[in-house]
Amino acid sequence: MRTSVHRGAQALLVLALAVFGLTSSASAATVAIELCAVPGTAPLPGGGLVPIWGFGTPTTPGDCSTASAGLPGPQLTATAGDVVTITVRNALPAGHTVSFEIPGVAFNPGPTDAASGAAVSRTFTAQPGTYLYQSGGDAGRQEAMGLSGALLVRTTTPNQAYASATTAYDVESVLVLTAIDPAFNAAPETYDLHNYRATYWLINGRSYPDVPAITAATGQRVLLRYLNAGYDNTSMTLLGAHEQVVARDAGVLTNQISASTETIPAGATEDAIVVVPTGTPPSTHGFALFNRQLHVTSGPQTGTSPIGNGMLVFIHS
Amino acid sequence: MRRLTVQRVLALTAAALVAVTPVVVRTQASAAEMSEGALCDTDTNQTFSLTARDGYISTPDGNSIYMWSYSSSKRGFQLPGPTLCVESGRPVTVILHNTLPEATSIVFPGQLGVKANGNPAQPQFDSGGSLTSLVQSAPATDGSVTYTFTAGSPGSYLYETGTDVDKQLQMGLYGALVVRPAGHPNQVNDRPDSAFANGKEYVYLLSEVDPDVHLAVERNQPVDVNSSKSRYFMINGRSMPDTLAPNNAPWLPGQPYGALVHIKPYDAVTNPLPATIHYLNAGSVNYPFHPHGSDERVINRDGHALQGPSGQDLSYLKYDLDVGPGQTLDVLMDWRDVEHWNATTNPIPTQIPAITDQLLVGPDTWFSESGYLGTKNAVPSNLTQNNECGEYYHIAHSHALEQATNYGAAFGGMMTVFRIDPPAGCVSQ
Repeated sequence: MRTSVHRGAQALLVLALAVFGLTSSASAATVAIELCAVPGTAPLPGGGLVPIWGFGTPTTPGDCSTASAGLPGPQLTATAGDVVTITVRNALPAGHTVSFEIPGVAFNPGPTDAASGAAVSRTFTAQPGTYLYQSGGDAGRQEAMGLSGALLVRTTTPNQAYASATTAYDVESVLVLTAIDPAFNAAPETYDLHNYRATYWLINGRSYPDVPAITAATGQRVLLRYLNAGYDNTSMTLLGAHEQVVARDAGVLTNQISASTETIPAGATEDAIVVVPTGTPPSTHGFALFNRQLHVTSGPQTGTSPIGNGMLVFIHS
Repeated sequence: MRRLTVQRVLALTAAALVAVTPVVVRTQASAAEMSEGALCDTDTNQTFSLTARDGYISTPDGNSIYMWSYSSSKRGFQLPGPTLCVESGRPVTVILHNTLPEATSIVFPGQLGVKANGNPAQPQFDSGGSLTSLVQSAPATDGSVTYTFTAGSPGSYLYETGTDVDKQLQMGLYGALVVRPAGHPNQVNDRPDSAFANGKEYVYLLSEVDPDVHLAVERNQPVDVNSSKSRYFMINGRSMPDTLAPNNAPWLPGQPYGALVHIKPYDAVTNPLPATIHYLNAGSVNYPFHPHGSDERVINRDGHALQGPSGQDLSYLKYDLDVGPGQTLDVLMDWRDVEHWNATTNPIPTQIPAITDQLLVGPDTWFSESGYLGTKNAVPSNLTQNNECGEYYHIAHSHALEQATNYGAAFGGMMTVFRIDPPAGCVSQ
């Protein structure tokens, strides 16, 4: 049985066990994750590709030519108490240093950066919550190019986000919110950031209708793990249901908040639970969850009724 | 109820508005009567007939902006839409008639079980499977749709367009819905400690306008909201100093709602209850709105009382309200005479600032030229003195400075004043 107390001692124990090959599934594990920071492309809503820099998992360990950049990066998972080591290899164009960080996570002491062509390893003991991992290199330009992703640390209690029983859920949905200014992505090294103006609004790298719907039945508890990887505070409205905000930046709220529109600050994460309402059966398309800041459309808009290729997703049965 | 609703739609379609005229009754005796505070549309059957129509608003710098908005079907264009006041737990019917050149609709964020023409409110798709609206809409030019729901928990909510959202929200299709606790019209929520003073209720619906988008829509030109930049910032569809004008000011025919808070100091015996302000953000960015002078107690968020599972009071005092896009906050506010300044017994131990520091708009001042509540002194003759009886005025505005301007010119925009009269009331001097 895993325990959430005495993590420091537990980590030492785990390390000792690991050295002697005695770890088992019944105790906190050591988790090794390898990522590559690589250039690539991502599809844009409405067609076309935009150059990105993203994290990817190499299919051949140590060989970043076998990794493809994701927008967002691969979803990383660990269990509370795990000792996690993330090794990041820098395969970005020459001259760019990767500075790996996970706000809210205290890494063990060690180097922070990976020079071009080099790697850096960061180790930490996982605490429950929703975290954004990213590269802070080039004063924010690397994040804007797409170098970020979700790290989920789950508790040892199945289907419960945090120690509090109020965070129990039936369905988990991870929503990485990102924005793209294609003009910036075309010239990430030289673009004048005063002119940065995102025009594409994405959930998990996609826009409606390409974002998979969140499927849940009436009465089920849906855990929405919001991660705002963009540069604007982002307000998301949920129609026809309420959400209970239970955690911010991986910290459980003592006083939970009932909301229908929640603002996720830039760089922040939030966890909210939606109980799919009873009484009115969800329609085939259910409950809209959408960006309330006039970003339900992406790209140049000249149509008479543009709607729907932006930050929008539905919860339905 | 459903049959009644269907009949209404038919009547609307067939007889073009005439059939449903008796239902909506204004709280105020006359639509043209000037007043202060929240101006509610109410109805004994909680049935409201709204028309989406175009019109113009004026801005303090002399501009005239083409808008789309909801109005009562019995009245002309207004911005924002009528403030609908209803009782929690009772059915609400909103009939939307559309005179705009494109389909439009209403979503009610925070309300559960909304129906449209008797069916569950749900997104709409065209024959090709593309999303056309977040909810059933009223077709362009002469369409109608009827929404019904049971009013949710007490507090304030936005109602706003669910069609062509990015453009139509910018164009002005939004309004306030105030849900009152059953049997307690002078409470914000079901908690007795949310009681407010009779008549001291205020709606601050915050929004913004990019005049270029509005001009493009007026000229039937393409609109690119991703390149939009708002220049006007408003409370209840008005910018400072129009925010200070009373409700139904005849010189603002399309902008009937004022935003002047007008109270007396707290007194445990004579004035024990606070005022309430409903903050609603219908815009696209957060507005860091704050009053100068005193904190406000936030008691509701998105129409839900801030309380714990067993009723613990989780309200909190806040200086900057910072309501986010699509969000609502309900607050209680009062003003307490903490210092008790008195010219003879407790004089202010500093020099009163020069009048030139107190000019708000052009040569207009609201300052009494005295720090003592109830004392009014002469001001230089080149100034326009708006102070009546030595009352205090505290500025309240968005702290984002471009939002406190009219197209960049200060002061203006999302700004108003809170007026505090002497305890005995205001006798003009």
